[in-house]
Amino acid sequence: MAADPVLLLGIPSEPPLEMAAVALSRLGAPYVMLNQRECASVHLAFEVVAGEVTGVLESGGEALPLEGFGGVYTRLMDHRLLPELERAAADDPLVRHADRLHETMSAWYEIFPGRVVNRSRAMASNASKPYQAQIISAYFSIPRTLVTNDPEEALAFRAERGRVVYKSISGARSIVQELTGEDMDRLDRLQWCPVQFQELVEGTDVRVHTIADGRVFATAVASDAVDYRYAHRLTDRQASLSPYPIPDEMAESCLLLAAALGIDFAGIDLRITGAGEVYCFEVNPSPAYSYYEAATGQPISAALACYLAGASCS
Amino acid sequence: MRLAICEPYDEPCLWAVVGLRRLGVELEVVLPRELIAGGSFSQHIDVHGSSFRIRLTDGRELSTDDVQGVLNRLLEVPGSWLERFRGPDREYVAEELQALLAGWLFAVPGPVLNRPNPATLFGEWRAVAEWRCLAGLAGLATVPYRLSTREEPGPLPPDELRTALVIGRDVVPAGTPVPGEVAAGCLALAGAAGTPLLGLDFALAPDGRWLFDAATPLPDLRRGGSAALEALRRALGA
Repeated sequence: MAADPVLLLGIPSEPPLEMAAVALSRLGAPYVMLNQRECASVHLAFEVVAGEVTGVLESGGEALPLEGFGGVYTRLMDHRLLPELERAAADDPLVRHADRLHETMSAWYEIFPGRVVNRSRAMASNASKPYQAQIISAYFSIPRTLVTNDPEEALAFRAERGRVVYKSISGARSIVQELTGEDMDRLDRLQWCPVQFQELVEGTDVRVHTIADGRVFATAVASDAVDYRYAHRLTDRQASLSPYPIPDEMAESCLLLAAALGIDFAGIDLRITGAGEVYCFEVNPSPAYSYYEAATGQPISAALACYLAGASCS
Repeated sequence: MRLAICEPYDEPCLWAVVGLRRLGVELEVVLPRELIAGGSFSQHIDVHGSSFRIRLTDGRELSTDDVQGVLNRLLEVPGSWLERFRGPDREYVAEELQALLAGWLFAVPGPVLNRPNPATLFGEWRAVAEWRCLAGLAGLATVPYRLSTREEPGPLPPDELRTALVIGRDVVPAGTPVPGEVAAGCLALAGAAGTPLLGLDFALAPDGRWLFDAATPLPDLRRGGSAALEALRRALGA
């Protein structure tokens, strides 16, 4: 089975990266794991000439041509928070090297002509929920949404929609909560920082992982919490996960949406109502798929490994 | 109504505003701080589309029905508004307002020069490496680019630069006329980059060829003179 070497970037013990490495090994696909915490010994250089990108990665005593890789999976964390760097001074040579390495790496994989999970530009849409929602609306229903800093607008929206949830507009502090009577006393704070309100849509949560080569994995999530990701915090029970038999048309819409956003590996959050209407809340460009695979046994990492390696797997 | 969103020190934008008004284009200047401070902002989004209403503190109102195009030079969330917050809250508010502005500008009807990316409000910002790569793929001859983690002497800056402005479907020279094949490449690059307003710098090869060096979605519009104003008028649909 022919497979292109894959470059894995991040912390090797982080479950999504670790599972991808294991899957690549099982596939017999070669890979190079670049441990962010060992960046002191890594060097990277690349050139762009007439639209073509070539370069060299020096790691573990080897010099590897960048154009030899077929795929890149990046799970890089903010390197400034690495234990090796967190307390170092800004002018520490190790810090300067780490800054330079991460700048060079991210500039390179953004233009690398092979498979990249996922490029930074594609991931940016998730930083603004209203921005992303307008793209999503071409493929799925979306909850009626209000972004506002005006308490009167928020009150009118609640009066019109009944049950309403609120959440952050960006990806930060993104916990969904229902707007209750207690929150009314705090609405005047909107003048300082706007909030996103949405009609509460009830139904079954389904997380769909899509891969650019057409593979789709859907997982149903049962939870009492408004936001199942925080079920353990918002309720006294964890969420319960199971494989979901996704209809072809729904799967196709998920693939088209991910492609429209330029995301090779996406985690798409759907909610399916009792009447069968499919709402999409968000497309996650850095899905922590390991949680879903660990709970259900769905072979997401194997499919990801196949894609990264450019292998034809059944 | 068309809008020009820019900081009060953005002289290229203000020059364009004055020039466009002389051409009869109705253009309102809105400062970034006016969008977020003290007024009322609301944007509704559903499966049928998006609508917005923004009431500014000076009484002006911007709504979906009124705005027909935007010259967008919005750099970032104004620091003057963020000064009232401390620590993690400051960072959080900055991210929230950036997300709000990106979502709003994305929804504005009509031509928007340039539409935002949630990471960069003024349009698609790219690293030099990416611009050089895209330019090569768009058919432009390019200055070779190299980036390395090792300490290496950087390239010398070009002795002379030539500049072209892509404004909508027009390629406007900044001084020296743009060769035909270069103009075609400029339009292809702007199209591929999703940036209808783009400034492109070229170095001159010893044989006189124009070699793409860098691009910016925030060009100095003044360099295009009256031709730039006419092109802006057309690109804004006025």
